[in-house]
Amino acid sequence: MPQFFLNKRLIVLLVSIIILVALIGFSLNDRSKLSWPEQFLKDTVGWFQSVLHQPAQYAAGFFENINEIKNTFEENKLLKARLDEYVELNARVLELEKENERLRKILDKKESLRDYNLIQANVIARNPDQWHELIFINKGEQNGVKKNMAVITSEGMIGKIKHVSQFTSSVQLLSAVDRTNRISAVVKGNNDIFGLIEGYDEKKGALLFKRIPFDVDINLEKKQTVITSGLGGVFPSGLVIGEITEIVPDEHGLTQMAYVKPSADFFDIDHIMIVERVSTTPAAELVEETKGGV
Amino acid sequence: MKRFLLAFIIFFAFLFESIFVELVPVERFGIDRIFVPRFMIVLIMLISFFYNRNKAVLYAVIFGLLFDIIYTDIIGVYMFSFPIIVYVISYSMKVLHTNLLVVFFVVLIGITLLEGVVYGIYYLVNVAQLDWTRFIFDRLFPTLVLNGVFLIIVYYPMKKFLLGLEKIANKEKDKLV
Repeated sequence: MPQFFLNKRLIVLLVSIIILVALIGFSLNDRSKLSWPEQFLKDTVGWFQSVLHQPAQYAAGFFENINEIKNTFEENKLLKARLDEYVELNARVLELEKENERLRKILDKKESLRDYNLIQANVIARNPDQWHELIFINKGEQNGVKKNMAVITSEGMIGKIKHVSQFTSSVQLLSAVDRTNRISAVVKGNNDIFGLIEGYDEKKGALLFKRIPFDVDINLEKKQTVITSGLGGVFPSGLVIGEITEIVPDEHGLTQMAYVKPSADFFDIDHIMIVERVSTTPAAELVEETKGGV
Repeated sequence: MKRFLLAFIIFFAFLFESIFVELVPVERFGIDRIFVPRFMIVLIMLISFFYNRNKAVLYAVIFGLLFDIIYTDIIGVYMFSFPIIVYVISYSMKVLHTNLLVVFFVVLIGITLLEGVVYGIYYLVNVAQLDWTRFIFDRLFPTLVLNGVFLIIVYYPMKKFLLGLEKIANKEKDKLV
């Protein structure tokens, strides 16, 4: 059918391919802000999503409750045993906190990398096509959310804010495939072992903790906890990322790499907290300058 | 009134996809397959079979764009692939009879094409990093099963509803003539 190639369908197809390429190019650029039509659409649909999400949540929660009732007795026993430990620990933490405050006063040091404010938010949707690991939450610019803030659940860190619109924002999970997704991390209790969390191994379900030097006095062990170091300039320090499960040499053999099993569950996320770092981050112009220099 | 209902049903399917993914955590049962709900495109394909092809393509463009803006970061992928697949698939229906079995297979072929096109584009721009055997076994087959079940559930109610819409449209046409 040679007619097919002459008629307007072909032209429409070609034009739409050109538009496709242009749009993809436009959106692949690392945009710092969404355009206002996008923000408007996201907020409008986000409202519908949050309305629809509540009843759906209850329905799903009902079945989950039935499942949980089965384990309640054993869990209760375990928790009671833990409770005594907790009281003791709590007293200790209070004491240490007081001491820390006093020492800080002596040093006249007001802010630390550890300080942060929390913004509470609820998950309203998740990306259905599952190529991008994104979830959507019901707090936006109006609530003080900004791009690149860390996002945690009660169990640990899950990701960072990717895009913000006025009343909703999207969160990129740590399990997403993104080269630019780097977190400066440190092994808990040991201030010498620094590294970067870079990438995610889907088969093992573990984050890759890379660029740890091979020094003599560094001894990584399994079951050590990895936390954020706060040196990246964006996230505060002390957010729990996960636990080391395996240690291997890096591709080039110059540094080591560890697999870190994330402590938060990336699939069953309901309530999240957005972390706002109190300590000042370097000004944008400064960062750009150093980028150009190095 | 009924026409607004159609748009509303598709919009509901659009929202339901994300809620489905969030509240049916397959991963917790130890299944590491990816089930992608494509409920909206299944409905749009049914519209193209039983109601009006041009309207179906229009819906595909609008909701494809909405899908891109709201669920993914890359605008254009679904806006391009949804209408093309609806258009191609609806052609095959001119030759074939519309019964459940034929529609079932044609819709599954459509979803396979859609997943393939989207995978191809995302592979090119480095979003997707699955190799193709894992794509077929871990992603495509579970997706086909999920959407096949969905199609069987909605087939008869949707068919009745859409044929009713077509009747109204025909009547209005007669009045004009």
